[in-house]
Formats: sequence, structure tokens, C-alpha cells
Amino acid sequence: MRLISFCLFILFLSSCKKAVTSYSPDANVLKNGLLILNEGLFNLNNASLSWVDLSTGKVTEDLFLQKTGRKLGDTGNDLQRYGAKVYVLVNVSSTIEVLNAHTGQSLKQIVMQENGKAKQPRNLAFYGGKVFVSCFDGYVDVLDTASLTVEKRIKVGSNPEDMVVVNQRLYVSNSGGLIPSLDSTLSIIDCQNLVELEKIVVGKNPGKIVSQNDSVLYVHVRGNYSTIPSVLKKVNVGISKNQETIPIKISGIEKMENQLLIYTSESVSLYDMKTNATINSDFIPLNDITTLYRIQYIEALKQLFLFDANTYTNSGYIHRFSNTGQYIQKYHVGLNPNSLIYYE
Amino acid sequence: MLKNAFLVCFFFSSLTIYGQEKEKSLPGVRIELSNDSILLSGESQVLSVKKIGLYASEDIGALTQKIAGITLKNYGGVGGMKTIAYRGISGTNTAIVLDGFALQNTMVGQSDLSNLQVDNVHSLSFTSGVPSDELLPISALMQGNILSINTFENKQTNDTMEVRYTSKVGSFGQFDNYGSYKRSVSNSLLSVYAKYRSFSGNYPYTIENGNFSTTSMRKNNQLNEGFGGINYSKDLNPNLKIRTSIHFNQSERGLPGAVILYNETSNQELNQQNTYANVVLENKSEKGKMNIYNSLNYGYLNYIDPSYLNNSGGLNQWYFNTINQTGVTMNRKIKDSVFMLYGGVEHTFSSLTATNQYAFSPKRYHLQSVIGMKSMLKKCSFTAQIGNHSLQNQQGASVKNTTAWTSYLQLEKRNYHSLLGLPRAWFKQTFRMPSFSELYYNAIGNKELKPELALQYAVGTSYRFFKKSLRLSVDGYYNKVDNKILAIPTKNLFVWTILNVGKVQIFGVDILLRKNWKLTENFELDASINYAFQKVQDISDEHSTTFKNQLAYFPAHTLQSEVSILLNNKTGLLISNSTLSNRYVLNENNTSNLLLGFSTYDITWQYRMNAYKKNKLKLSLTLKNFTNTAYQYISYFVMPGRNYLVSLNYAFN
Repeated sequence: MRLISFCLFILFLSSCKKAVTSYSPDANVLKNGLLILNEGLFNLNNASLSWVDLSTGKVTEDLFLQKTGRKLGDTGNDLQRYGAKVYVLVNVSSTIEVLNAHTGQSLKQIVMQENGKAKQPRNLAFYGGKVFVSCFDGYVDVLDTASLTVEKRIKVGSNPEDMVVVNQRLYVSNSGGLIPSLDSTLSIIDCQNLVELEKIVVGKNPGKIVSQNDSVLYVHVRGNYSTIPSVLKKVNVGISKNQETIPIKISGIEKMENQLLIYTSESVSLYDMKTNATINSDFIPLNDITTLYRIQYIEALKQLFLFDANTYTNSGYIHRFSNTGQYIQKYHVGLNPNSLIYYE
Repeated sequence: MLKNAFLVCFFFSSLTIYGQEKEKSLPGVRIELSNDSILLSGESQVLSVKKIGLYASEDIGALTQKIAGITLKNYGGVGGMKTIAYRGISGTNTAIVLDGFALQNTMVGQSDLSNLQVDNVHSLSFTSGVPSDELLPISALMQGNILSINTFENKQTNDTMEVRYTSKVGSFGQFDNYGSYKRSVSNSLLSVYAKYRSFSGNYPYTIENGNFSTTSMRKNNQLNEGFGGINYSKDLNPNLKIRTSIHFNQSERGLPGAVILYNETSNQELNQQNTYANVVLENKSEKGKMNIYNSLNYGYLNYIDPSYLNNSGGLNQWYFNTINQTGVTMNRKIKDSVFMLYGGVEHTFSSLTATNQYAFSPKRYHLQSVIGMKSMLKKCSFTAQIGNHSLQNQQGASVKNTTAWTSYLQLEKRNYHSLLGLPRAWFKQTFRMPSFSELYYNAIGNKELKPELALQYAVGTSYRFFKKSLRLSVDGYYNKVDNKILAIPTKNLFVWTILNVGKVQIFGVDILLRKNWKLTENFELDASINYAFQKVQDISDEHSTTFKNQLAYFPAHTLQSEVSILLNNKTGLLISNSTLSNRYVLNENNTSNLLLGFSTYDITWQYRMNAYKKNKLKLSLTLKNFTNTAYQYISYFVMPGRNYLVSLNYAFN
């Protein structure tokens, strides 16, 4: 008996298994808060949405899971609202999650595959009832907001990323991030006819685009991260085709009304687009921020949100500031927060 | 560099190379207690051929998880990559020694143990420290943790001819065929072997996605692999022997990657080829031993990713790696074997040529020197060793020199005490040199990297009770790693750099308990538990979110247990369990990073028969993961559910 007990003890020690619970969707309306996309990390399927209740400051982790009963997927790249819908791009899962903007519940998951290959959706832009999705396979997909289907694929440059709509034209930065020589162009697409009109050369590895007005764009040209430096280009796309390099250290930009926030890992500068001058080279101190990943300006609040990726492998923070650079509050969110939507 | 080499050579200048007297064996650290189980002795653990057969492991990687203190990272399936860490320290600090020759991988640093076949393994031992009087390559002595594999082909035999053939059929399209022929004629031994294995690898799996479970099929997990080799050894005189071997291995495998939710596309491939050519001149006398050896390894690795979104239809990258080791290792006994001096010098040249978008061609010249002393007193043994690394890395016009010293001290009681057992303690200092990938890979490498330094302290003891039928071994340890080499994103999530930024502290306990019951002459029962507790903590920055958190993928608790029955020396039955506690997929220990622990069970039934004269047959049936547990070692690298393996072994002599 002792022998049998000993053997059983040896063989049947601990065992762990998670029970699968039933799912009942959360239909609560989203209001007075921030919906935040946490990018997650490659191959971990841990992209997520966090919800910040601005009245209490309480953070709800993984709102997408709560609303849909399933995970968002791998590497969330962009989150934006257009009308009554919220669009979430999930790059490695190669999906677009379309949510009801009021409740956050899923309306549709659009699978972004072409001939068995993932298109890898990257960024969003909107115009005239259409959703433009830059796809890393070298196309901009056009979705109809009613049918939520891809109506057209527009061939652009290599590995397109950011987009901006100005004067019925869509400007797309072709980064070429996956090719050794890198791409150097912006594609210009006619938003009415949905065709590429031309490409203009701006410099190696263009990323974020900000429009000053109908004819002037600011483009973050990122170089090759070693021998070719990261620079800010002022690109005239009107009658004049002039381009000017702004002599300032840069790892990212964000538009705040007529001003630009130009940031690096050490500082945030305030730059006036009208006078072409730096107003304040230390607009927001970064003492409390470990890894500044992005800045987003919310016009409705007149406030700035700084995304702290916290070394990229730890859960991040959102730091909230006034448009004059006064600290308001910070929120502990998910892994690598990169974009948010404000709810009134 | 040269100065250190001369120092070692000077110590051994009086060694009698061509002595005539017969060798006397020197009492060693390792004590083999029987021939068919995990053995406890000092810091060595040994798996013998009988037990290896019962485990029915697909490769050496899967087999190593039976060793206390080893954390296996298994990416799934027969061809899935397998790497190990020992007591929280990366596998790059563990030397892999095959038939006395060290296998090195300067390209990525850590060997993929799924590339080492298991069918021809005669015994496998894991030693933390310096093993007895066995002569080892100097690079292995320097690393301190040694996984030593001895093959059937290299084992000396009294029979003039031996033959082995194994055929296996398993789930998910697994077919293995291995054949070996060994002939011994007048002081010489010749053996040849070949193996081919294939695996379709399309196994079903279930993963949880929030409140739902998804069942799908693992794809692009196929493997086709061939092995071959020839060994020849000859006694040139009673004290001098030459041993040579050539091993060849070629594989083509799919890389299924992590399961990505909503995107099952997987079409990456990895093709590899490796050739090893080894020669050693072994001299032994009453006063000591000396080996002069050379080992040449040439291999390539071809990575293909058709889904990579560049303009040339995907990636097709080639890496060519050459490593040549030349060395001398020796020992000399003093005062009737009470003392022994040992040491040697080894020079390793390695080069890598990468033909990809960021082509690079680094070279490395690495001189390692060791000198040590063992004293085998009546009541205790004492070992002290110092070593030196002198390294020159060269990439284009850039040259980087590095020098580092290591040391090792060990004290062990030799006579059994009823209360203290056989206590032991050691201190060890080892270095991990940055790999070529860490130094130069794709523009993210950092050629200024310093070696990673590990300090290891351990104390332990072994007990035996009930006429040695119950054995218990307990070891506690504390390790500290400085200059830990980590890949850190520096500009954004897509731009990483390798830096010496980490500090890690590790402490834990390994406990082995084994009981044997010989109930009748024909009925024997054996049960064992192998439990490890380990805390592997990030202590790089006390302000960091991860300060004192458990590092990713290290379970705090690991348990291997098994019960085996042997009947009439013919029928064997083994039921084994493998349990890992919860782990974290990143260094931050929060619930979203939690990867659940698991427990799997395997059962093997084996029947041996003497077919005709010296012809023997053995049939084994194994049911792996018979509880059909869904589990993962690495997040989203799903492991197979219940699966079988049928194995038929034929042996002549």
C-alpha cells in the first residue's frame, strides 16, 4: 500500500488547466473616457484595448476581450473613429476590427489577405465615406464604410505607412522599411477617382505626415537609423514643389493646431509652422517618461497625451498634459500604447 | 595570449607522453551507481542507454528535460527548435561534448539540440564542474556545465562485429530509420552509421482565445533530415591511440512559427547542413593522460521567407559558418594519485559569411587556457582551476580584443556520513562570449559587446537509505549574471540593439529522490522524482517595472517524476510525468503575461527478446501526452496532443 501511494504521489502531482467560461457581451455605452490601443509585441497575440474612465481615472484592461469575448490579435497598429464606427488595424494578424463606436461591440472582422498572403494593414485615413488602409504589401486598400468590404486596391510604393488627406488628395508615405535600399517617396492619390496621380521623392524612409494647410506638408523622413539621419522635411505640394529640411533632432512629430510637437527620447519641442521657429525646446519635461513612443493631441480636450512604452517590453503609461505643457494625470495601460480615441 | 598558453604548457612539460604502464583509474567526482537510471553523484547526472530507450525522446533536446536544473525551451514537434538553460543560466554556458569533441556554434551562440539525434546515444551525462579524470576539450572545461554524449559508434567493444538497426513510426507522419555497423579488428575499431527521419508535423491543436477555444491544424511543420558518419580508431601502441570521425547532417524543415490569431499563413523554411571532421591522439600512462585534438565544423544555414514584404518576393538568406578547434588537454597524477594536475590550451578559429541585405563576414580567433589541480584525500576532494579567454573579433577593418579570467573551486566530502551524507560545495566563474549574431547581425549587432559574466555558488549533499535503495540528493545554489546581453529596442519597436545591460540573480534548489524495490528476482520497481525550484530575477534597475520579477519563460517549479517496472529483464514499463509551473512570456510578472503551467504524462511499454543466437529484438510502444493536454513551452508555439511512437530495434551482439 505504501508502495502504491508513493508511486501515485510521484505521478499525479500538480496539474494546471484553465476553465473556459461562457461569454456574455458587455453592452455598456462608452462615454467620458479614452479608448486606447496597446500594440502588444510581435508573435504574442497581446494587442489590446484599454478603457480609461476620465471621471474616476479607473483603467479597464482589455476592453476588446470584454466586449467581444475574444482577443484582438497580434500587433495593433492604428485606432481611429469615423462616424459611428471605430476601426482597429491589427498588423500581424492582418485584420481590421470594426466596432460600434458607442458600445465598442464588434460589427465585423475584416480579414486582410491577398492570395494567401497577409496584407499587413498599417494605418488609417478617411474621406467621403471611404476608409483608406495602407497595407505593408505595397497597396492602399479602399473600404466602403457601409458594406465594410475592400472595393479597390491602389498600388503605391514599398511598405506604405502614414497617410493624410489634404484637398481631396491622399498623401501616403512609402517607407520601404523591408527593402535594403528603403523607399523615398510619397504617393499622391486622387480621393475621387481612387488612382495614384504621382510619386514625389522626399528622402529615405518617410513616416509620419502632418499637413499645415492645403499645400504644405511636414514629413518625418527617418533615414536608415545609422548613417542616414532622421530629419524633418517641409514639403510644398502646391504650385511650388520646394522642399526644405528643418535642422532639428527628431524621432516623431504631432500637430497641435498651428504648431508642431517635435520629439526625441530626451525632449519635446514646440515648433511654430507659421514662423518656422522653435518656440520652446523643452516644452514638456520627460523625467517621468521611460520610453516616449508617441504624442497625440486631442483637439476636443485641448490636451496632449504622451505614450510611454516603458522599454517596449513592459506595460505602458499614458501621460496627460494641457496644451500649455502642464501635467494633469497619468494612466497605467497595456503593452506599448500607440493611439487613442477620446469619448465625450 | 601566448603567455597564458606557455604557462599551462610549462606545468605539463614533465608529463611522460609515452609511458608503458597500465592505467589505474582515479577516483572521480562522478560515481555511477547502476547502469540504468538517473544517477546522483556530486554534480553529475547520467542517463544510460536503457533509460534513454524508455523515454522515447525525439532528440537530445527533449531528453535533457530529464536532468534536474535544466529548463527546456521546446518550440514543438520533431523538428522544433530546442534550447536549454541550466539553473537560470543560458545554454550558451553549457558545453555539448559528443564523443569527446566539443560542438560549438559561434553564429548564434546556443546549439539547437533538436539537431542531435538520440538513436545512437549510449549514455548521456550532465556535469556541473570538472568530471573525474576524463579528458575534455578545453572549451568544455572552461564552460563548466557539460552535456556529454557518448555514442554506440564510439564505444569500445569486445565483439568483432556489432550491428544496430532502429525503425520508428509515429503520429503525424513520423518515420525514422537508423542503422549502424561496427567492426573491431586487431586494436582498431571502425563504425559507420546513417539515419533518415521525416515528419509531416500537421498535428491538431486547441488554443484558447478569450472565452472561446479554437481548434486547428499545425501547418508548415515538416521535417526531412539525414545523418551519417564514420568513426575509426586504432591503438598505435598500448598507450597511444588515434580516433577520427566524420559526421554529416542535412535537414530541410518548415518553420511553423507562433500561432497568430486570425492569420494562419506560415511558409518560412530553414535548410541546414553541418559536417564535422574530428581527430584526436590519445596518450595514457600511469602518470597521466594527454589528448591532442582537432575538430573542424563547416555548415550552412539557409532561411527562406516568401511572405516577407520586400520587392524581391521574400527573403532568401544564406549563412556559412566554419569553426576549427585545435587543442591539447592533459592531466598528471602526483603522489599515488592523491593529487592531479590538469589543463591545456585550445585555439578556435571561426568565421561566418552572411549573404543577405546586410552582408557581413566576421572572424574570431579564440585562445582558451586552463590549469587546475585536484586533490583526492581520504576524507575529501578539492579542485581548483583557473582559465583564460583571449579573444579577437574581426569584422572588416574593425578588430576587437577581449581577455577574461575564470576560476572554479570545489570541495567534496568523500566518505559517507549518516547525518551530512556526501556534502559538496563549489564556486564557479564563467563567461559567455557574444555570438556573431549579437555582434554583427543585420545592423542591430553591437561590436563593442563585452562577455557576459556568470558567478555561480552551490552547496549540496547526497544521502542513501535502506541499503542504498533510497537515494536523495539536495543542491542549493546562488548565481549572478553581470553584463547580461540583451536585445533592447532603442529607437522604436522595429529598431533593436544588443547591449550589455542586464543583471540577473538566480537562486534555487534541486532535489532528486529515487527509490528502487527489487521485489523478486524477476520483478523490479523504480520510482524517482526530480524537482527544481528556481528564482531567476532581473536586478538590473531597482526603478524598473521588472525589478526582482521572474525572467520570461523560467518556471519557479519544475517536476519530473517516473515509475518504471522491469519484469524478467524482458518486459519494461515506464510511466513518466513532466510538470512545469506557471511562467511569464515577458519579464514583467503581470496577469496578461502569464503562461499557464502544464503537466504531461507518457507511457512506454518495452519487450526484449533474443531472436536467434546473438540477434536481439526490442519492441517499444509509447503513448506520449496520453492525457491529451494542450500545452506550450513558448507562448503560441503549440505542442502536440496525444500521440504514439512504435519503435523496433534490432541488435547483433
